[in-house]
Amino acid sequence: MNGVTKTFAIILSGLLALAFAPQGDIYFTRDGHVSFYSKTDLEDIKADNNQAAVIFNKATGAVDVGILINAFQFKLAKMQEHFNETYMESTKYPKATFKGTLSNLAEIKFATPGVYPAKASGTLTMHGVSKPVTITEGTIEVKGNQLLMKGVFNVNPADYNIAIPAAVKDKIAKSIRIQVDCTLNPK
Amino acid sequence: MKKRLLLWISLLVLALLGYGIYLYTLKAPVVAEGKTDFRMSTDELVTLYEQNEDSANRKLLNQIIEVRGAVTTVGQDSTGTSIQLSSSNPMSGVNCRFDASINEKLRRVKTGDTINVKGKCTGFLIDVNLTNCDILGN
Repeated sequence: MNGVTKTFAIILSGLLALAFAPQGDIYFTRDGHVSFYSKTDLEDIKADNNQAAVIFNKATGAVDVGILINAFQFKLAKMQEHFNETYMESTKYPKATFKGTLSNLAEIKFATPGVYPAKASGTLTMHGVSKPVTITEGTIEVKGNQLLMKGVFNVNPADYNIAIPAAVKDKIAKSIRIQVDCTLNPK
Repeated sequence: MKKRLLLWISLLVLALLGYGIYLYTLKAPVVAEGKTDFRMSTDELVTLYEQNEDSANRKLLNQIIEVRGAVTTVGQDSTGTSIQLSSSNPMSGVNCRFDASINEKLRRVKTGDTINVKGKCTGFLIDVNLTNCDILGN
């Protein structure tokens, strides 16, 4: 399968999960917040995306995240342009996806409000490359009938065949911090 | 003569430098600018993506689209507003994201209203997503 078919299949499987899973187990959002930070001595770069689609099955711990690269908002127009055209090639690879599971599902008491540490592992696909990732610094807060999911992890652009031109390589961190913060509602 | 040439060259260099600085400090738009590329209903937009996501992306990705549709959900906080427009497909609609600077304009929008939204198409997840949206007079 090529990258686009694969991401489509992932989203489709998420949609099917949304359609057929028992009521009450599925939580989702269309407006998840994902941001990233690149920090170097020369420049700090931040971008935000407020339209991440997240589907979570609390019975199995399965987490599906889809995000559109073009929806990342930068402060400066040139940064946004370079990010889309040069680094992420977002016309060719419009989506990034994470498909994984919570590895400490048993420790999260969905019936008891509170903040629980959460860990997840899975596959991150972006720029046409899929790599395993582990999120160790996550939390899930059970609040009313909502689940607040937060997580932080780092990615190295080089691992995803993202080439940074020599002229700007000192301005872009080798490791980019990705932060996920979303409020899931029951289906 | 030589002096004058030098003056012109330095003026040109200055102008180019100024233009470069202008380009590199230009803010990324938070509200879609420029003319509308496509005008359609939420049904037409969702159908294009359902039929063939790749060809829909080739046609619509990064284009400025104006849609008219019924509001199913509104979510607003200090970072901006998200409005979901329905389509005839119960699983999928149009997800519109507005910058916080538009929040005040959207204060009275509620579920059930039919609104016109202009925004940049960023592709398809559960819904077709538009970002940098603005609400147009109805």
